[in-house]
Amino acid sequence: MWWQAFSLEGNLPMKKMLRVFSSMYLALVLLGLIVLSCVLGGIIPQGALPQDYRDLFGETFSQVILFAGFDRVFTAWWFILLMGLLLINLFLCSLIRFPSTLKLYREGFTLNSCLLQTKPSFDLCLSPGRARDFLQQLGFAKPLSQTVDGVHYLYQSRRRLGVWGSWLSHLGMLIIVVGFALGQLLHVDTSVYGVPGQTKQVPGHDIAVQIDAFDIILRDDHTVEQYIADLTIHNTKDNTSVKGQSKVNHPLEAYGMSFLQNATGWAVNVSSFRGEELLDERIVCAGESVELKDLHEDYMDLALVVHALYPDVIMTPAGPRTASPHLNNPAVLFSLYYQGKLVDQNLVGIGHDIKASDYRFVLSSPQPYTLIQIVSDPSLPLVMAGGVLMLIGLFLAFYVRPQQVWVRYEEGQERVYGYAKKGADLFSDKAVMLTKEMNTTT
Amino acid sequence: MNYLQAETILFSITAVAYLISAVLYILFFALKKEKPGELAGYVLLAAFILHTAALVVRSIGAGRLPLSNQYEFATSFAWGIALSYVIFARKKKYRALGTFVAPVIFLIIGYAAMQSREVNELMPALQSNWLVIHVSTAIISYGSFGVAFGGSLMYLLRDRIHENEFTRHYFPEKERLDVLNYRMISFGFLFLTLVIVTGAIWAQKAWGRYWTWDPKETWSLVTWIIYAIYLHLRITRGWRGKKAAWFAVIGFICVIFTYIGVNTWIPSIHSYA
Ligand code: HEM
Repeated sequence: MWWQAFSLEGNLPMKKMLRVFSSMYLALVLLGLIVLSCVLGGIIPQGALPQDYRDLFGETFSQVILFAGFDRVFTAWWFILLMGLLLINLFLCSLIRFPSTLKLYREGFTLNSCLLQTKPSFDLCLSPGRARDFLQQLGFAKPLSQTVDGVHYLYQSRRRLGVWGSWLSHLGMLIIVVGFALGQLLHVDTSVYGVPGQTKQVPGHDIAVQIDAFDIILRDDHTVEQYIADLTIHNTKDNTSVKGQSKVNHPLEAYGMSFLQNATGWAVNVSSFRGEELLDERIVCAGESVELKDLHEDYMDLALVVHALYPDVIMTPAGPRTASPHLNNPAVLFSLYYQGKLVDQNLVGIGHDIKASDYRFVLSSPQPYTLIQIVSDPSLPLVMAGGVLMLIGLFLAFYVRPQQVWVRYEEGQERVYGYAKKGADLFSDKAVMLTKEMNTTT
Repeated sequence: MNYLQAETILFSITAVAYLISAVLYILFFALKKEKPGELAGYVLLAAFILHTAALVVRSIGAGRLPLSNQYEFATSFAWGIALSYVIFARKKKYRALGTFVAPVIFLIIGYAAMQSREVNELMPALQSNWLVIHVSTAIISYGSFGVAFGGSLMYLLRDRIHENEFTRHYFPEKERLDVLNYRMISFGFLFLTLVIVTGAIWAQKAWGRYWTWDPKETWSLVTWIIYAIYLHLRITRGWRGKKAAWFAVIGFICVIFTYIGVNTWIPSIHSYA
């Protein structure tokens, strides 16, 4: 058979390597090291700035952290190496255990295998004529009979499928690790944002997101119940489109991608004038700016940055705040730059002008924008399949415990034996109780 | 009286009942007298029933299962341990186990009592059936790890005290206790796997990525691997008994850290603050 190539016997260097790389010993060492790495990565904040580590851990420790890559444990080369080794280990151990598991499944529950068992889980005597009844009550309803060397036997096994449990669970884990690694390489994670009426191209893809409507459902206490975006997803390559809704926890699925309602903020319409001449009109989200020089080189070098919008502004000693999420008294915090220098920074109500020389900016129509996150991961089905296999495998390993029983007909009595590798105590307790009951009722 | 007030009263009585049960169990252990032990069992059962009632009342009042903030999870976690204990270990033979489990339940209830009991409206990301499955499986898993923790402490202590009439009556034989702990851990492990898988599905729906090495995820993986190491060591190296018991203790410390430590000290998308 092909798998004989993977037999562990022999003294060749290849075989020695195979023994090491498929061993549970290596698995334990690797799991131990992975746990240590995870502890580091779970305690030390990941991906922060060098300064943050200095503030948190002091000069010496922060240098160790940065040097060893403890600030990015899960993408550090040594962590990837550990996962790679675990993958090889899991793969080889699954490969090597396949033939023995198959053999156990096929041949491990025959009468012959029963008779070879030197340490049965129980060995009990029954009064004559009770064996079938006993087996039935123990859960073995249809025993087979066979004669070996002139001795008559009854035997049966059940829950044989359980022998696959641990093998399947490891296969599941293997698939998950492979799927996760593929996902790291292949997954897409990007975003677009805008207000109803806008269509945004997804960077690097033939997909555009048209925002048809965006609603924030508020409860009476002003907490958010749900964010709902009505979207039309256009495939610009074949000119097709899909309409649907994206809510938090209920992404819209289209063209192999998920469109998630991820975040929201405020946007405002900004009209730029020179005298009475309208130069530009656009929707600006909080954090964005309008730079006139970019529109036309003749325009003055003015830049308006919209920092934040307060829908229901109140002034507090700590600065502006919003009293409610409703547009009762909207105001915008802005900065104005001339030739890169800050010339004005203030809070302005909607409808008021921001003036500089004969230029003026007029803010109108404040509205929430939506940030749509776009993700796809072609390896997701693989990871899901791995997860399902792993769970089925664990269930089989823990709760489908193979059991076998055999009865030897001797003169004047019937002797029953049982064997279970796992859960032998419960199995034997049950058999002993049953024997007591039956022997007292005869 | 509204639902929340009713729950507060039920919860307070529950906490006192768990405390009484823990004290009785300790008396039982210290004085080696049967009566307090028997009584402790009844009080614990009564506390568990009241606790269940408190959770039901809160669920009706909030219109959802109490699984969403630090208080709700703590009280449900304690309930999970009590449930596992009531189901698996309330036999007379295991009575001394109560001395180790009841104080753990009381401590977690005490932690719950220190949290804000307000019913908060759920932010959109938390309104998911996957959250309900995720947290329910966590309660079951943590509950059985909690009992295994108590059982392992008992195992370790049993090694130090002399065999006598009392231990023969109320302590399971060492091998049985070891196997009971193993069963609780394998059950907890299967459920912890479910916790991680359902959490990953939920994260995929809510945040677009099923695994991001967020501290809570990482710590649950640490816990999962520690118990996996325990299971492997049992199989290959025959690490039963004492060493296994130490592992179960470390595993449960990880469980507690994943639940309380991460939320308290480490910023995470899972911190409900
Ligand atoms: C993510 C890492 C791993 C996890 C979570 C894991 C988990 C498990 C579990 C739950 C069991 C069943 C224990 C029982 O039935 O009591 C088991 C058994 C076993 N594992 Fe792993 N394992 C992992 C990695 C590995 C690796 C890399 C190997 C490679 C050598 C390995 C080899 C074995 C073997 C040989 C058994 C015994 C199977 C049996 O007797 O049926 N495991 N493992």
